Amino acid sequence: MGIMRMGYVHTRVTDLAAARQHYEETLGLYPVLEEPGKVYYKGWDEWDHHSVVLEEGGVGAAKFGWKVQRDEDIEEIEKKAWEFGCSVERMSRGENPEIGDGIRIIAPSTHVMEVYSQATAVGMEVGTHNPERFPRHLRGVGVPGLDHALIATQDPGLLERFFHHVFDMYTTERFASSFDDDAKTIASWMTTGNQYHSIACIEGPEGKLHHFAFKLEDWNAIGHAADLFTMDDVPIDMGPTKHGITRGSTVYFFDPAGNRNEVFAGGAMAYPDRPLITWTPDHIARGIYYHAREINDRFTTVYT
Amino acid sequence: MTAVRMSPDGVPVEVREGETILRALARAGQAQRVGCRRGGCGICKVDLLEGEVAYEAVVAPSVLSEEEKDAGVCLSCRAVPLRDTTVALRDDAPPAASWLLRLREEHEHARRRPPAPHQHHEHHHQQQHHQQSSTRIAADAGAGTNQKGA
Ligand code: FES
Ligand SMILES: [Fe+2]
Repeated sequence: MGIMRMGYVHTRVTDLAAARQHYEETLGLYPVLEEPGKVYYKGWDEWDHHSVVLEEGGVGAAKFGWKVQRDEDIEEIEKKAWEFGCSVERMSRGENPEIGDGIRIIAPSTHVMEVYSQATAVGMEVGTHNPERFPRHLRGVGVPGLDHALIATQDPGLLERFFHHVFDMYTTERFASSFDDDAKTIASWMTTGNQYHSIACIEGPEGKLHHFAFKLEDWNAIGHAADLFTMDDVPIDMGPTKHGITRGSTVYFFDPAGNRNEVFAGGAMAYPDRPLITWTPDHIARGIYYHAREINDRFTTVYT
Repeated sequence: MTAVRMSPDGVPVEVREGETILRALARAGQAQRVGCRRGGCGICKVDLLEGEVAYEAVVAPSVLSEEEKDAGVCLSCRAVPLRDTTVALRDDAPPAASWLLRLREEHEHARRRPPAPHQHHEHHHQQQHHQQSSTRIAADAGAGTNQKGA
């Protein structure tokens, strides 16, 4: 099936100790590997070696990992990336610890996308034999795993075509300048399988990160997470609230380096034949924040 | 007591031990443009007119460069005043996304346009609807961009 999911986000942080506190104690990710200046994490319900990498120095996302189902998928994606005119290089096993051979693509937005098929299997924390529903001693929010990211680009239409052509993705929802056929794409939510979106892009400063999100079970879990953010003095950007777009529930908040995170729950099921949903600028505030129906300036100016 | 003041018309606010400019001003109800509150986005930049600040947290050079620091720019969410300090808001804050600005312009345009006397009912309704949702955005835009907010 080609791309299965966004496998990892490799993000920069200004202060690794402060970031560790946030990602381990507040969010409850499991540290799996430490290197000088770097820590690798997984969520309790993830099985591959890691899904989040923190690297000390700077802010923003250094790169995104995409896991494909079969080794052959890598070659196919490499070919399509060349066709699309992207710069592509091979990456070998171990360049990222516990990640196999693959390719590194520079997307038209300058974001770095790594594609791989092999990752060391660590296993879910509850195991696979008659498992409990969740690990008893979760820390903080206890996020089960990584969900999606929203990235910025000056040309969302082009980046959307890149994800369609190279990653064989389809769009579930689109924010367009109008309902006309020749409307400009301002933002796009895309996926490969039935997850409602694994990546989204929005018009904004080239190559920047808007946020990356962790999946939670439901609206109650979202509210509980927000309580913990208050206890831990995590700056909340917006929420708890709901999105019109994707129908997810959400809290946007910031890590200690100022990178925006999200906890996200719900969302519809995606199918390639599901009719595309389109949002226009006059209703986008409701699309983004379904209750407030207002977009604050932070949403379109705060990036790392 | 160390105090921080927002130029030109802010009253001096006491800065508590280790407190940032942003926190001190916010505690006194003096709002300013703010984003991540953690030194990552650069939205909260202010000009240091008087005084001296220090950074207890690491600030990425991609957010605040050495040249900017030398020129007296500081990140209000991370800068801790060391003595009485006066800061001024900057005019070069990053603009909101072009689609949001376009939307606000359209709203302004719609607001200034006198109502057409012979409009078809349905059309009229649509226009009102459009105006209403834009108003919500514009109202918030006012709050967000009014850097000199009390
Ligand atoms: S609010 Fe983001 S750098 Fe200060
Ligand atoms: Fe999101």
